[in-house]
Amino acid sequence: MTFAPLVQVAHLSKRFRLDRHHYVGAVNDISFTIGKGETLGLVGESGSGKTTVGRCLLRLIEPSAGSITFAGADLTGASAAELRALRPRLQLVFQDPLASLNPRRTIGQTVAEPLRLHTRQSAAACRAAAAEMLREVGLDASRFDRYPIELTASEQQRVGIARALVTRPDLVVLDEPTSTLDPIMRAEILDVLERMQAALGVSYLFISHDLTAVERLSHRIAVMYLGRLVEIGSTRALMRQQDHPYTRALLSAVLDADPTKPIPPHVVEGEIPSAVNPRDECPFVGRCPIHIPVCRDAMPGMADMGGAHFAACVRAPELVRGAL
Amino acid sequence: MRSLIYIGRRLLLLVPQLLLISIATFVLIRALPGDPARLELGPLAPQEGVDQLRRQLRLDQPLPQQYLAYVERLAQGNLGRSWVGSTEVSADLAVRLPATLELIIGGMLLVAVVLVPLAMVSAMPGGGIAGQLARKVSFGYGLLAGALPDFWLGLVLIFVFFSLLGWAPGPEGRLGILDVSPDHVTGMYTVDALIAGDLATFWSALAHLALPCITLAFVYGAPVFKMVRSSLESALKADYTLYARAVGLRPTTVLRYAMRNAAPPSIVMAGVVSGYLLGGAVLIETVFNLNGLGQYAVQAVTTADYAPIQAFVLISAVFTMLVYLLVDLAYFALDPRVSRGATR
Amino acid sequence: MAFVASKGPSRRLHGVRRVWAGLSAGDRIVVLLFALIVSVAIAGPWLAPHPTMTADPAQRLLPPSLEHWLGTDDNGIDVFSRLLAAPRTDVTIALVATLLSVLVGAPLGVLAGLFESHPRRVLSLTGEGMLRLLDVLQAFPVFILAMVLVAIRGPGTENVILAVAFVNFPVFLRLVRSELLSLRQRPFAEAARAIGRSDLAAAFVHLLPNALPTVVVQLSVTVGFAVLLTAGLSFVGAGIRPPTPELGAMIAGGAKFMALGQWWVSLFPGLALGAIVFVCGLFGEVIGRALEPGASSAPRRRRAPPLAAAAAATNAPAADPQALLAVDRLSLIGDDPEAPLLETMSLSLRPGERLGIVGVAGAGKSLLLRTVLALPPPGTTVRGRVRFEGRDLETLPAAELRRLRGATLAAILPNAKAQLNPLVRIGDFMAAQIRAHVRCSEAEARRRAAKMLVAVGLTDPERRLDAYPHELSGGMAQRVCIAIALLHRPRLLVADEPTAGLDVTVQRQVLDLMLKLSKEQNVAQIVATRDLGIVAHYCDTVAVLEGGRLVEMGPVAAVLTAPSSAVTHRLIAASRGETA
Ligand SMILES: Nc1ncnc2c1ncn2[C@@H]1O[C@H](COP(=O)(O)OP(=O)(O)OP(=O)(O)O)[C@@H](O)[C@H]1O
Ligand code: SF4
Ligand SMILES: [Mg+2]
Repeated sequence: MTFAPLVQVAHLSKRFRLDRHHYVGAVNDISFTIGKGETLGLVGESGSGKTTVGRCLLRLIEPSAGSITFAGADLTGASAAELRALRPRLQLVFQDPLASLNPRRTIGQTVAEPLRLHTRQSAAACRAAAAEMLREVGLDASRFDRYPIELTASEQQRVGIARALVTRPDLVVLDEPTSTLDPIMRAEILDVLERMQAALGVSYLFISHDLTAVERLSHRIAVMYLGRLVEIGSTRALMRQQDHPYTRALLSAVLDADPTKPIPPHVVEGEIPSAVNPRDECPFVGRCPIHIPVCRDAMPGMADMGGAHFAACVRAPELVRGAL
Repeated sequence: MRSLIYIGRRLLLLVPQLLLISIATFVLIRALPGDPARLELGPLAPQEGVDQLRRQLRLDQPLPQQYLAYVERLAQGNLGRSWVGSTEVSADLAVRLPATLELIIGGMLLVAVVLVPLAMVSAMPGGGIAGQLARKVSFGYGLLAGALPDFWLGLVLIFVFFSLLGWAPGPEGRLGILDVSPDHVTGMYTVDALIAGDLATFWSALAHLALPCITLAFVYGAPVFKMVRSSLESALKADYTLYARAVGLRPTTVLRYAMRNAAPPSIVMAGVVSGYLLGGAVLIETVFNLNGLGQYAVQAVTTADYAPIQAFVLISAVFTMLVYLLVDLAYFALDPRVSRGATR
Repeated sequence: MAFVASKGPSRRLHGVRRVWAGLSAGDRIVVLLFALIVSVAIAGPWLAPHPTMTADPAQRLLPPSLEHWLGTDDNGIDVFSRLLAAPRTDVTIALVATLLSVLVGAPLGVLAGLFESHPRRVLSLTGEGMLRLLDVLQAFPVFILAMVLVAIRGPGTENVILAVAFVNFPVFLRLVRSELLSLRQRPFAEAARAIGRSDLAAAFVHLLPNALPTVVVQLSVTVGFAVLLTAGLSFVGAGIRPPTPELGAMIAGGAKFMALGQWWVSLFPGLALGAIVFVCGLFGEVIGRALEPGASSAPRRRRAPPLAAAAAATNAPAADPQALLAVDRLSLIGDDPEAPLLETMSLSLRPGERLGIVGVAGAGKSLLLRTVLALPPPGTTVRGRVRFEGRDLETLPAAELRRLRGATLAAILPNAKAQLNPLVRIGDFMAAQIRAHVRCSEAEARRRAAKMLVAVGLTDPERRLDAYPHELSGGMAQRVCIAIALLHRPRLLVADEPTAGLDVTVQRQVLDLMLKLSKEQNVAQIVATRDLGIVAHYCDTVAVLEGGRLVEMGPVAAVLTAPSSAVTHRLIAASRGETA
């Protein structure tokens, strides 16, 4: 399946200054695209910079460098007014559903608010549209006047999704929408997201550290480590064959619930190093079981592994050949 | 190293703070209608004296100059004269400060030895009948303490313990009418009497301090009490306490560790309250006729004696700033998350 | 600016009635008392049975009697009458002053909060400057500042109001600012920006309403405090002066008679003052509670429907003679005896056996583990029995129970970083733990601690012992907890979500370590987790909980490949990201 491009991110970086000599390299020189109606999964462990990428994409935080093109328009240079006009087309769903909803507003008010801000419809029309959207994400009309605290976590997250989708956006950034939910609720939310994408043709940037969820929802998957993109490719290709040692480690950490399946050997030791003042080298070098001296010389470039599958590892070709 | 930098920075902050305080006190008096020199010397002073002070205060020059003159005078320890008592304000303060310190220290001691332990006991679950009693007492105290006016409480204590029971001396000052004040060393009668070995005077001074200190502790100890209780309670409910119990630490160790967590917020609260104590002393000294700084200020206010007012305001602000400095340093020392920064 | 669907007046009235209906009896009393105070403040002077301002030397200092209920003062004025008339002065001053201070302080607080984090340097400096000025202002003790302000401007109602308002506005400025700053960190504030609200609009539409309960509570506290301040000022003669009836001045008028035994002149005004302040404080709390959205109707715990499988599982025989741990018809009862938190659970564990406990959030996994450790949450009652190594934990003396815990019965609780006391060094904690169970010197204990840290794969043990928990990563903290659990060769390790909050590549390291050590030392384990994958590969048996009940239990291979209960089905499907 191929998608017409919707978002193009080129050489995006974000640094958070700590003091005069120190900064967190939260995102370093990342490029990717998202197509219309496509879901790009963004995986990586805590602190790898996933959230920062998502926020930069919506310009909720200002990127330090790089450019973002959205539907042909340059987002990085957009003025505050231009940005506000784009808001209905660019939306966000949060990790913690309860915290992302204003506790003093009813569900209906929350979902109607984007419409009231961005359309000229009457209050009644906005309410009706909001109620309709709530129904579509699986909440019945009786919930309309409830407060967030009166709902279950799964219902709360549906409200968050309805708020994001009510303006019919082109792109929604889903920042770990299921990570605080228990497995059954998680599956429900994934269902809703999938259904809504089929109905509305919206694109998702699906951020998660949960590979099972990402695998289920994404057309393509991008893997981040310590602020760098290390591998990107179609879900099928990447699940079949990982061309970066870190992706292998990540996948080997997933335990299947089927006790008859053997568990993958577990490959890495140690923990993620600090992101303060990152050096120009492969970010994985300290933990990589197959590292060689060149890995320290510079950040390896993204190598085309064929089939629109890229990996940033100097030994990726050997890895693919099975020489390691 | 890190600590030195922190302490240095914190001390440096004191400079602009003191500067602003001196400006504020300066402005406070200049805001009055009328001639500051005349105000300071009083309505009865001869015109020559007033003119001389006008020159000294550079009142004919622009405001910044006047401010400099004010600071210069401060730097020489000259706080002006009280026209009501015809005395140097600095000399008056030297006499009265020890009385106030005695009251404040006594009050804080009571808080530390009575209220803080009570708060701790009532924060602990269990404890049998004694624990239940402590919790009842502390509940009642917590309800009442914030609401009762200190000056009224002092009067009620006088009525009960002096008029009714005769256990305590009346509001006659720091010593009985027949007592002779001990030789001046610190100015605090209890301490000076002990130094002089004069036990009779010591007991008399202590008896005269008892009710004022109880009043002060009862009213101003309440926020400290509540903070100790609630912070120890939440420390004892915290995950880390459950874990400490789950791995079988001794109950005393569990408690000791929880107390470490309750200490920083309690100390901050104690600091904030100490900052208010000079204000509290004003009313309590007046009720008990203790002749301290606070009562001095009240007399000055009622007689429109501006030099003492200005001096008192300045001193109380500086006192508060110093207390806050101590609090910050204590917090820094107590919480490794501040002093040893988060590193990963 | 478009405000979203505000409620009509008819709904609001309905709201007031609903709030009243939602109040507890105690809260209603507080509201009524507050209403009483307000009515006395309004109508008091007209209700007074005797003149309140005219002296009558013939009636001087009469003690309470039928004629003068609360006696008379030194001017011969009826104390009760004056007491009815006086609150008007104090309450009016306090209310007006508080209102003034919140009207000035709150908007300034919003500005300070917005400016402070503004990218424009001029604005951020302005915000910072405002706060530093406030610091200096607040260095002047409140009472002294108010007293001097009145002294400078002269006594009189307006000046007292101004002084009281002036000393209180910083409170609201700071409160609103800090509320705003902390609310801005909340995701819903970011959500407001994400849908296209400007910062200012978001502050007023989304943040300020959420600061309301806190401000209201502070408002009522400040009214009470302002009443005290007004009375205090009048008491020292720097506020309202006689003959105007005022509580502080009344107390001052009777002060000298207190020592002479004529207590009634001062006593009653003081009691009235205390009552006003007290009720104001309570009233604020009531209002603050009533303002919490949906406070009355949080979602109820859902109970599992009775299941045939449940009955079968709970009646499993507990009398396994080889059992290391035997849980026999265990129930945990919370507030509602009709809906126990855990219901008649029975299970047993042999030495070296690894049992996984699974279930959705709120199924009772953690409660079960806490009860097994004999550490049920406060306020709950345990029924049934937990026997460990043949001993009933319920009846074991506290001291013996303690010696058991952390020695043969070890525990790992979720999120290691939260389990370690932030103010205690790792080494101190471990040494205390060791010395709580075996007799040895501090140095010896530290040596053993260091050895165990190495055994769980931590390098540089000396540095770790010196560290505070915040100086460790999540993975290191978890290893420390495992090290603590293994210090005394446990026979059973109870672990609640041992990998929650860890990076996925670290999770496997921790699980492998636990497995290795458990095999080496023949340690039985109970592991509660939401992750079926962990159970599938690291446990021998599995128990499935739902709504506080044990619905299924058996060997892992059997339960996970051929589940008998609906929950297990759904959990297995969910682990693949599917809905059953
Ligand atoms: N405002 C900030 N100031 C300083 N550092 C920050 C800030 N926000 C994020 N960081 C740092 O940037 C890095 C990337 O953070 P980010 O939140 O994007 O990671 P993430 O992949 O979303 O992690 P998680 O899975 O925990 O959500 C981390 O090291 C984080 O500590
Ligand atoms: S570049 Fe080197 S260190 Fe990095 S992943 Fe590849 S082999 Fe490992
Ligand atoms: Mg994130």
